[in-house]
Amino acid sequence: MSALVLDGVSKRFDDVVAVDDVSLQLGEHELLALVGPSGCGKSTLLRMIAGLQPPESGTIELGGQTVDGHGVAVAPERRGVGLVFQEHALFPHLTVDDNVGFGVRDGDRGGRVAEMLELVGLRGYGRRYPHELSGGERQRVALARALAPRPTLLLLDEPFASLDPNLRARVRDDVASILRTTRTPAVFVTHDQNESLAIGDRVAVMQAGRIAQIDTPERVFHAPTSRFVAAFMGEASFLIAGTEPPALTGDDLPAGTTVMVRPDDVTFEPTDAGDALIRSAEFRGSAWCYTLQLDSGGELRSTRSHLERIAVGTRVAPRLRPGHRPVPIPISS
Amino acid sequence: MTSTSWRPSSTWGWSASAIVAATLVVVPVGMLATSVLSPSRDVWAQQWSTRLPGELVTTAVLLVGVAVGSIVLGAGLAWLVSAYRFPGSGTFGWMLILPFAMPSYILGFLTLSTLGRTGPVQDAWRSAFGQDAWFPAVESLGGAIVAFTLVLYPYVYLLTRAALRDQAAGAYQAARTLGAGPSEAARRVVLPLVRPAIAAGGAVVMMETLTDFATVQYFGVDTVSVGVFRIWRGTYDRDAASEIATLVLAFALMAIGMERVARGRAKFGQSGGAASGLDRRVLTGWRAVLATSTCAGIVLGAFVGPVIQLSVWAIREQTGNRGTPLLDQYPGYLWHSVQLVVVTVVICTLVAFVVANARRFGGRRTTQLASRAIAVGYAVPGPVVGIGVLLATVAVDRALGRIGLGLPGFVATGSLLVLVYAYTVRFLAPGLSAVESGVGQVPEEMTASARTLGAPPIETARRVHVPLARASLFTAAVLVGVDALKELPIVLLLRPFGFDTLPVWVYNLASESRYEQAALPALSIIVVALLPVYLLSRRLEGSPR
Repeated sequence: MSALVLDGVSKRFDDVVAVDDVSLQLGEHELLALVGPSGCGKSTLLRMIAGLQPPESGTIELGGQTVDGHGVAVAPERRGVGLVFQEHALFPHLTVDDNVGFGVRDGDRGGRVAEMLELVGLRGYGRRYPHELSGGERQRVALARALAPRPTLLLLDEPFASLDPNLRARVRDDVASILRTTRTPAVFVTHDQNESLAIGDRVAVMQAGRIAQIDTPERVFHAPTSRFVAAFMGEASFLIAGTEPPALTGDDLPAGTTVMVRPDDVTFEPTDAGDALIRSAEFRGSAWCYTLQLDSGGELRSTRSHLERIAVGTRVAPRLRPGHRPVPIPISS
Repeated sequence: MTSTSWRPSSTWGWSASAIVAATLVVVPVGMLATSVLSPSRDVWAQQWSTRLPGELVTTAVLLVGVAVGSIVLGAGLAWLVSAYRFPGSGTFGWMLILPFAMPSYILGFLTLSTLGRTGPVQDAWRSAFGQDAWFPAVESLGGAIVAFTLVLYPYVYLLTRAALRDQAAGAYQAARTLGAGPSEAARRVVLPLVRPAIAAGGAVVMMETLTDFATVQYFGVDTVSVGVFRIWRGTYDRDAASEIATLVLAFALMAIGMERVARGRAKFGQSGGAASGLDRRVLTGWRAVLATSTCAGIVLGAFVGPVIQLSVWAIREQTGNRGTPLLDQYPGYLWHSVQLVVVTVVICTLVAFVVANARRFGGRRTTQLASRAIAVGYAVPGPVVGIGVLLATVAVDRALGRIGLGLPGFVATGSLLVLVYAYTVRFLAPGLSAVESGVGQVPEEMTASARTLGAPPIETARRVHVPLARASLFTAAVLVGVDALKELPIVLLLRPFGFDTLPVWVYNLASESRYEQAALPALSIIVVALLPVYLLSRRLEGSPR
C-alpha cells in the first residue's frame, strides 16, 4: 500500500500557479526528497499534503484514505501527518518533555516521550526549554515531537537549512537513519541538490509547479530527462552531436542531438594538435576545474587532480573518460 | 472535477465569528447613517431656526483650534526632545505623555475652578488691578480649545516621536552627509517624512474632541455633540437625536478627509537602517532655560498642577470639619464602574482573541475585512456610537416584540446591555489591534506544528496562542479597561436610570461646582489611567525593533 498518493494536485495563488497537476506515489517505507529552486512550489505541495492549505483540484490519499478531493477535506489535526520545519517551531513556553508529548494523546505519554528522546539521543534533556538547546538539539527535538504520535507520514520542510554547514551533514545522516529505523515514510523538501541525492530513496525535481523528473538519485543525476534537471542537479555542459567532436558526443547519436557531459566525465591531454583551448582554471580544493573552449564553438568543463596544474592558454584534446557516456537530452526541454 | 471548499475542521466557524463581530460593530453606525435618507422636516426646520447654525460654526472652530494647537504643541515638543539635549530632556521625554491620563472632563473643571470668573486667580487679579481689570474669558470657546489641547496633544507627540525615531533619523543623517545643515535637513527631509504622522495625530485629536459633550458644557460651548445629547436626554426623541448625530458623523468624515489631504500621497513605511536616533544637539544658555521651562510648564499645567490641586481638595474634603458624607457613596459608584469595566474587558478581549485567531484559522480575506470594519468603531465619535446602538437595539426590540418575545420597556428605560454593547463597539478596536499584534507574532509554523500534532483550532489557540500572546492579551485588557473606566459621553447618553459611574459622579459634582467633593473620584480615575501611560512610556523608551 502506498503511504501517499497525489493525483493531479494543483494550487494557484491569484494568477500565479504554484503547483501544477502534480501526481506521485510514495512507497510504504520510502524517503522521497523533493528538490527544486526556491519558488518552485515544493513547500506549497508539502502544506497541501499536511492539510494546511486546500488544493484547488486533484486528490490526496494518505495510507489508502482520501484526505482531499471527492468532496472530502480532512483537517490537518486528523491526518496523522508529522511536520518538521526549518526553524523547528518548538513551543518556546514548553519544556522538551512537553514539546515531545504535545501530540501524544493516548496511553503512556511519559513512556513514549522517553522513548522518543532516547531515539534521537537526547535522554536527560526533558526538563530543558528550547532556548537552552543548540541548533542541532532543537532539530532532534522537533523530529522526536513529530514522530511521537506515530505519524503515517513525516513531512520535513528544509529541515537542515538553519543549521551551520559543519553540523548539517551529521544531523542529516542522523535524521535519515532515525527515519529508516522507525520505518517512517517521509517527504522532505530541500533546495540543495546534494542533500536530496544523499538522503532520498528517490528524488523528485520540481520546476515551476510541476515535477520535472522523479527517479532514483543515480538516474536523476546521470540520466536527466531535461536540460533543467541536468543543470539543476549538478554542473553540466551541453554539446551538440555532429557539431562538436565525436570524442565528446559519441558517434552513435543523430546529428543535432543535445548531449550533457559533467566535468568528471571529461578528461584531456595537452597537445598542440588539440581542438580546444584552456580558457580558465578554478581551484576547488581536491581538484582543479578547467573551462575548455572548443574550436567548434562549444564550451565544457573538466575536473582534474590537484596534483597537476595546466596553464591557461594551453591547447588540449578533450575526450570522454573511459566508461563515461554522453547523455542525450530530449529536445523539448 | 471541482474542488470542494467545505472544510469540516470548523475553520469556517472562525471566519463566521469574525464576520458576526464586525457586523455588530458596523450595524449601529450604518443604521445611523441611513437615517439621513428619511429626514423629518420638522426636526430640521426647528433645529435650523434655533441652535443648529451656531453649533455647526462652534464645532468647526473648536475642532480646527484644538487640532492646530495639538499639532503645534505635540509636534514641536516631539522635535524638541528628539533633536536636542537640555536639562531634563530625557525625563520630559516620557513625562510629556502624562496628560494622556488626564480626562478632559477633569482638566476642564479644574481650569474653570482655578482660572474661571469665581476662581482664586481672578479674585487675586481683581484685588490687585481693580474690579474692572481685563482678564481673558475662560468660560469661552478659547478656554475650551486650550483645555482640550493640553490633554490631547500627546497623541500628536507620540506619533511624531515614533516617526522621528523609526523613519526620519536615518534620512536626517543622510541629508547631513549630503551637505545640508541642521535646519535645512529638518525642513527638507524630516518634516516631509513625519507629516503623515502629524496628520494622523491631528485626525485622532479631532475625533476625541468631537466625541465630547461634557467638557465643552463647562465652558458654555455648544457643539453638535452637545446638541445630540440635549435632544436625546431632553426629549428622548430618537429620530431627532439620530438625525443631528449624522452631523457629528459628517464632521468625523471631514476630519478623516482632512488627514488624507494633509498626508497627500505620502505613505511611508518603516525605512530600515540602523539609525540610532537623531544626533541630539546640546542646548546651552538661555536656549536651554527656555526649552526646560517650556516642557516643565506643559507638564505642570496639564498634569502635575491639576493632580496637586485635586490632592489638596481631596485631603481637605476628607479631613474637613464638614464630615465626609460623600465618602459613603463612593463604593456604590465604584461598583457600577467596576461592573461595566469588567464586563467590557471580558467581552472585548474575548472577541478580539477570536477575531485574531480567525485570521490564522479561517479565510484570510474575510477576516482581514472584519478587523478593518471593527476599527471603524474607534474612529466614530461617542455620540454616534451611542445613538447608533440605540437605533440597533430598538430594532431588535421591535423584532422581538413582533414575534411575541418583547420585553416591555427593554430599551426605552435603557439597560446595562445597551451600554455594554456601545462600549464594545467603541473599545473593541484598540483591544483587537493589541491582540492581533500578539497573535501575529506567533510564527505560522508554530500553529501548523500544533495542528499536525493533532490539536484542533480551539486547542491550538488555548495551548499555543494564549501562552505565547499572553502579554498582548494583558495589554488589550488594560487598554480597553482604562478607556472604559474613563468614558463619560456614552454613559451619560445611555445609562440606565440611577446607574452612575465614577466619571458621571465627577461630572455631576463638577457641574454643580462642588469641586472639592469631585476631587477624590477624579483622582482615582487618573491613577488607574496612568497604567496604559506607563505601558506607552516603556514602548517609547524601548529600542526600535
